[in-house]
Order: sequence, then C-alpha cells, then structure tokens
Amino acid sequence: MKRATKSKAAPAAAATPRRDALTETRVWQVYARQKYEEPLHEIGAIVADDVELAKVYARSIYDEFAWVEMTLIPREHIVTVIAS
Amino acid sequence: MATVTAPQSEEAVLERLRKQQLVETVEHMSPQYLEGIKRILTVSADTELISAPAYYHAAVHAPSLNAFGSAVSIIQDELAHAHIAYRLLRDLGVDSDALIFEREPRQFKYPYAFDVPLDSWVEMIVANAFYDRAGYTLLGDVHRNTTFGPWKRALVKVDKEETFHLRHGEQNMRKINQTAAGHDELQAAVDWMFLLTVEWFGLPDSLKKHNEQLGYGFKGSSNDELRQIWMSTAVPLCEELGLKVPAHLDAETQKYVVHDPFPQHFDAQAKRWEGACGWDDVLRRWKARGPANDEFVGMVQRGKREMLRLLEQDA
Repeated sequence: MKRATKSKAAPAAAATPRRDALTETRVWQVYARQKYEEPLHEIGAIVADDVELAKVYARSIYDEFAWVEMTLIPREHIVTVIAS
Repeated sequence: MATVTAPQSEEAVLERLRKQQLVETVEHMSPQYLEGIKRILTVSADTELISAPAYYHAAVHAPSLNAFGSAVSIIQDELAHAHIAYRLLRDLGVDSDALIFEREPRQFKYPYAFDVPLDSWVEMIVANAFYDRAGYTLLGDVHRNTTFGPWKRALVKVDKEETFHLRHGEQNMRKINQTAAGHDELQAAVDWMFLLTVEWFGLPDSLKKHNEQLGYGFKGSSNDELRQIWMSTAVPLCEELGLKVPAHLDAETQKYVVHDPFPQHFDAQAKRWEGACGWDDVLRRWKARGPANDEFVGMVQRGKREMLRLLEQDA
C-alpha cells in the first residue's frame, strides 16, 4: 500500500521541474519599422530563453509586413521614465 | 507564475477611461476589469488557436500546391494571433502554458462552429469567408474600440491578416461557383455553416450575462450589432453567387433578418439544422462541445505531452 501511494505522488512532484524545463520565461520586446524614414516602434513581444530562438520567434510571429529593420530588447532592460 | 493583483478601485478605472487614457498594465486595473479582460482574451486566444487544427484538418484536401500553401499560411497566421493573445494573458498573471496544454478539451472557450469538422476544400473556403469574417468583425471592433492598450496595438497585425483570410475565402468561392457542381457543393456548405456563424456572436443582447465587455470598453459593439455587421457583407456575398441563405435585408428597418427559425437544434454528425429551439438548448449544446473538440485540442496538446514523457524517461 505504501509503495502504491508513493508511485502516485512521484509523477506530480517531479512534473513541475520537467514542465518548467519546457516553459520559457524571458520576455523580449519586439521593435520594427517598415520604412527608413519612420522610427522603430514596438510591435509586440515574444518569450524565449535564448537570443537565437528569440530572433527566430520574432521573425516568424511578426511577419505581417516587409520590415526594413527589427530589433529585440530584453524586457528587464527597459527603464520607464514617465509612466502612462 | 507570480500572483498578480489589480490595485485600482472601480472609480479609478472608470475615471481613467473617462479621460480616454488606455489601460496599459495590470497596475491600471481593478479586480473586475482584470477578470473581464482575461475572460474576453481567453475566448479570443482559444478561438485563434483551435482554428489551426480545424483548418489543417481541411487543408489536406487542397486541390493544388498553391492552395495548400495558402491554407498553411493562414494556419501560421492563426497560430501567431493565438500567441499574441496568450502572451497578453501571461502579462496579466495567467499561466498560459497551463491554459493551452493542461486544460480539458471541454474547458476551451472557442465558438462551437470549430467543433464541427471541415471535411472538404469547399468547406475550408466557406470557413475562410464566414468564420474569418466573424473573426475580422469581432477583432476589428476590438481594434477600433478597446480600452486595453496592448491588445489594441497587437491587433494591427491581426486585422491585416484576417482581411487576407476572408478575401481568400471570397475569391475561392467565386472560383468554385463557376461550375454547377461547385455551386451545389458551396450551397451544401453554406446550408450548415451560415447559421453556425450567426450563432458565433453569442447570446442576443437581451440575454447577455457579462456586460463588462461594453461597460469597460473591451469592445465597442454589442453581440447583436456585430451579428448585423457580419451579415451586412456575408449575405451580399452569397446573393452575388446565387447561394440561398436564411437571412435578408429588411427594406423598412435596413437591418438583416434571419427568416428561418433561429436559434435551432443542430445535428453535428449530419451537419443539419433541425428546427427551432431556445437559447438554453444552444447553451447546452455549446457546453457539451461538438464532435471534433477532443481531436483538435488533442492535436494542440500532443507535442508537449510527448516531450514531457521523453523527459520523464531520461530522468
């Protein structure tokens, strides 16, 4: 009986770190512009723990225009000076 | 996920909205505003997400490589739209991974229509013309009117791409309609899909439970107004193609009227409407979900489950 109880509990206890391993947490704000004469503006955000994957996700998710420039900034590096 | 609390009072939120300042973060929200925006965003995210397996199920019937490519491109757009809405939910403290991968299929909040599988290329095309038009109608309204700033800005992309999807549907309907056999197939699809899309906009205004959607300005038009907007372009499209639909423009009121019984019982297996019923019956049907609910949610959740299983084997 004890063994049965333990085997039921084990997957639940172990599931969290495994689930966490698949859950990316770092947020990157995405900025882009369509024309050279316009400024970069925020078009959205993506979540990726790795900068190379962040680039791939940004390109594939925000593909609505033929951008001339796209930039990523880690959200934690943004400093708010005047809050809305 | 860290617990998120909405610190503002109702009065503070309403004052902000009166000054026409957008709500930008959870710091600007009251608990009621937060719960309301999470509710409407979840419906939007789930709808975009489930359209991907629903459309893939039909895209495999594409009659050419070009057609298959266009359908897959639409599916990619829908997944990106879902990503945006779940990302906004995540910023509101929702565990979006749990929402996508750990909910039971019946807990998903998308329109019932997507639970009825699209089994041919013609049905895929009519879905683009009807369902994506419904998405465009709903989200275009949100785009113009919503008080939640991050959603308003994100919808620039969604608005543009949903236009492409519904044009894809319209142009292909015109093409299919050029032969008698094609016309008959379109009519058969329209016969079951038209009223399902009229239903898409939800309960009539007189029966609506969550009035915060308009009160907080999450969107600008009511369910019945959005239904009218959808019919104002869907009905003329069908009339142009000689397709019969159970709705017409009333000359006196200049409003579209559904002239068949509405709402109705629906046999999802036979894809057939079966006579008048009440909205309570419709709510029961929606809650029970339709025939492809398990399959389509399963397609979305399978990959993560398999990866977790592999990680367990390695542990």
